[in-house]
Amino acid sequence: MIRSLLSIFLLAGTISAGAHGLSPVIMTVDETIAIKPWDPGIIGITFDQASDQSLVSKTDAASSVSALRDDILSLVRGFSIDLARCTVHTTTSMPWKDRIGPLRQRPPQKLTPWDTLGPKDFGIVEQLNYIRHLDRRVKMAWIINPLDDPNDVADLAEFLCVASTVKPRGAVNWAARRAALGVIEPFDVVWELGNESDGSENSERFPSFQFYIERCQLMIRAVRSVLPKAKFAAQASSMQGHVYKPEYKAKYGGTWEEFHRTVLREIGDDIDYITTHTYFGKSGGGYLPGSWWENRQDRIINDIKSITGANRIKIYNSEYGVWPEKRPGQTTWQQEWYATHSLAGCLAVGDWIVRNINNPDVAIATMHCFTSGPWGVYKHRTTMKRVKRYDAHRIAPGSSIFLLS
Amino acid sequence: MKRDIADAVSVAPVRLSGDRTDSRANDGTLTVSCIKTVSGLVLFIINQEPDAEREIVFTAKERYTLDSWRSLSGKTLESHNEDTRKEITVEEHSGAEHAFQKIFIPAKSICALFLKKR
Repeated sequence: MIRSLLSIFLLAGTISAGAHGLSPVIMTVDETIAIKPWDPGIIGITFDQASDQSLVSKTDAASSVSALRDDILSLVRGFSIDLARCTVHTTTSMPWKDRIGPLRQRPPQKLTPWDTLGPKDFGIVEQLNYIRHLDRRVKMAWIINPLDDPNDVADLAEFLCVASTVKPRGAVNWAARRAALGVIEPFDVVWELGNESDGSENSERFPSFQFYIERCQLMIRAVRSVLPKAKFAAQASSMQGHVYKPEYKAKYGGTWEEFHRTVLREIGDDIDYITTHTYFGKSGGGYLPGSWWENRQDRIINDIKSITGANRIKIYNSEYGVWPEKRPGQTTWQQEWYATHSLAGCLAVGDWIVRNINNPDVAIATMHCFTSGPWGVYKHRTTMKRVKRYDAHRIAPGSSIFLLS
Repeated sequence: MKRDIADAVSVAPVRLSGDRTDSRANDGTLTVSCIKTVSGLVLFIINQEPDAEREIVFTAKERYTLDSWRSLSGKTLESHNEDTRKEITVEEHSGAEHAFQKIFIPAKSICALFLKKR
């Protein structure tokens, strides 16, 4: 301690303002204290099955698993993924069993509101293969659509998380089915209960906070019938302030905060995480600073502590990134897409990652997104025949994560 | 796990003082996290100042050397990379054998500093 203080005073004596008038920064680290144990899941990333359809190469329709494109596998080799969040849109209920097995037997699917109905050869097994190709030790965060059939969800838990040698719960051994499709080892999964259920795309199907809670209870019971120690993440409102609209309160009878407060009161004992989505936008004329989002997230953390009387439930920041917004003079939204991976975008994302690392109540996080929309770490040419990483240094929205790799 | 922090153990607290270092204030432009590893520390520093490099004066309980560091930056905040344009670059920098006490972090940059316990 004395040596540290002495160093500060000795150095302070030589300190003067820099060329831009800013003082030097005194940085004091106390490495004898741990804010929290290191969990690599704090720098996870999201995978989007809808946009990953272009990963498949031409495969015989009689085959049960699509082959993946060598050029893309080669391109992404070397990314290490500690926590992979697998997204699925919850606007419609899509039986997961329709997304495995012989390609010709899979029914046409529409995976997002902006998708077109058609064959989807990149299904669940293809996604598992792809993510394991990136990192064999990967852990998963898997979104459950709360509107799904609970029995199907229990089967999914068996399919993803149970060793193929374990006695099955029902007539079909789903773990053995997974192994037969080539995915031998089961996954360690955090179950995310819904995705932006009160957001504009989903709110018609989730008419009240209570409805969301009741569906979550069914899903928790279903998964726990297979995995008694399964971990769950329930959501905070997807309207965490920046897109808050007065009609939200009219519809739900409460503000965005009432959503997670209801979740904490009703199913707090059954969950391990509350999910937040934090997008940095330009609606204020500049990027909303990380401090604004962190203060907003702190309101949820404070509610966790006051409602449950403990800090056992942590934040899972399951989506974050730069949200590009069309500027005056631009004719299309796409013209602003570069903002996700501009230097300003990289700095905003990097700043947020630092905040997540430093916050003792934020346990895990998944940046948005490995491939979809304007966020991906590689992009497709318009012909979809070639792909190219942004550059050899992997400069992309995820660059601030991959700077460490 | 990212290779450079494969032996990470915990997150250590970092206290900053100086202009624009309050991360909860709207004008804060410098944020830092410190990951303790088996062999030392990894400092992850974000300097969002568009024009000003920041002089960082470092102290910790133990003494460390700067093994190496890496920076990501570009000419302007609008810089970005596409197929044919490479405006953002990553640079590798060598460290020094003497005890680490001070470093200048470039304007608008993300830096990862790898410190080894002496």
